[in-house]
Amino acid sequence: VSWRTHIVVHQATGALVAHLGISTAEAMARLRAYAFGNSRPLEVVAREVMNGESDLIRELE
Amino acid sequence: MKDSRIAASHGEISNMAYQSVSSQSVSSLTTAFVDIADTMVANYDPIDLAHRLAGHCASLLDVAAAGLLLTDGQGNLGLLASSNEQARVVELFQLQTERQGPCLECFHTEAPVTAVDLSRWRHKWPGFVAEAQRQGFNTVHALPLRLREEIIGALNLFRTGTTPLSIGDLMLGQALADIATIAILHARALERSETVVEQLQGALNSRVIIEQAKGALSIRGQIKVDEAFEHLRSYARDHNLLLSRLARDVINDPDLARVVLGHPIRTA
Repeated sequence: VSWRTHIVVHQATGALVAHLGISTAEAMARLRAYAFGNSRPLEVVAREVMNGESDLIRELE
Repeated sequence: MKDSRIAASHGEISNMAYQSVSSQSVSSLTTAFVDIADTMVANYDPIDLAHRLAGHCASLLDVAAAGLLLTDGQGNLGLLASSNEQARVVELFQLQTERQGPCLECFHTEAPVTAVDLSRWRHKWPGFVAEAQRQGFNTVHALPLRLREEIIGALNLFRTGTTPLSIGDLMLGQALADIATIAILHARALERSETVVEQLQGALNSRVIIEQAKGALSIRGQIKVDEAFEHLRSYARDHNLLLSRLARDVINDPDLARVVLGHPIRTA
């Protein structure tokens, strides 16, 4: 973990754990992989998770 | 521009402080110190104490929001606790850990920073000033968290008006910052024989876990993150649980999450 990572990324990690029943490490890895794979900033993806964008969450499953 | 760092002789400060603090409500000061002392007795949670201190700063001092930022011992700052967990306020604190702002300057210069009327500081911290003003803050103080000769973070105080805090309030703020420093480091030193850097990083790790718990509860309960935090904190207090332990447990325990979300929020 890093405290320099934006807090919304940590919040989205917790949200994914709650949604998908995976570990925090796995949730963080999926967020990073999705952001990298779609060439999008990690923070933006995390914010969308926190806004409950269901299509995105389904893609992260 | 005139640098408005505090410069006054010690005697001068004590005199002014005496006048100012004597007008402060003694009973609210007493309540705050009793609360802090109560928390520091046994097996306490540094992050919970940091939150309490931030809350006391906001209610005792004439400020709209207070936040505690801590170093990881490797030159980075992280947000430890805030009197107001609304996402935007938290982000304003965090912005300073990444780029610019009075807190970062306080940390680097190891001296208190006072920025009265933020519109005059736009050239120095453009991003920070724009966001602070958008949220209605116009004056900022940053007071160092000191451990002996070392600086380990800063207490950040936001005001809506364009006047500085009184010297008395600043002294009280510094006293609360000093208590925070002792409390954050002492708790972990007692528990494990850790180095200062390990203690600092441990406290910042607790904050990360709390953010994860806020995210998990907010999604489960379809509520805002600051409200999720209030449920978490209220449940921990009413059940005498360590905030960081409860946070860790609640992330992947749906039953516990349901109970915590159903727990009423304490207003005190």
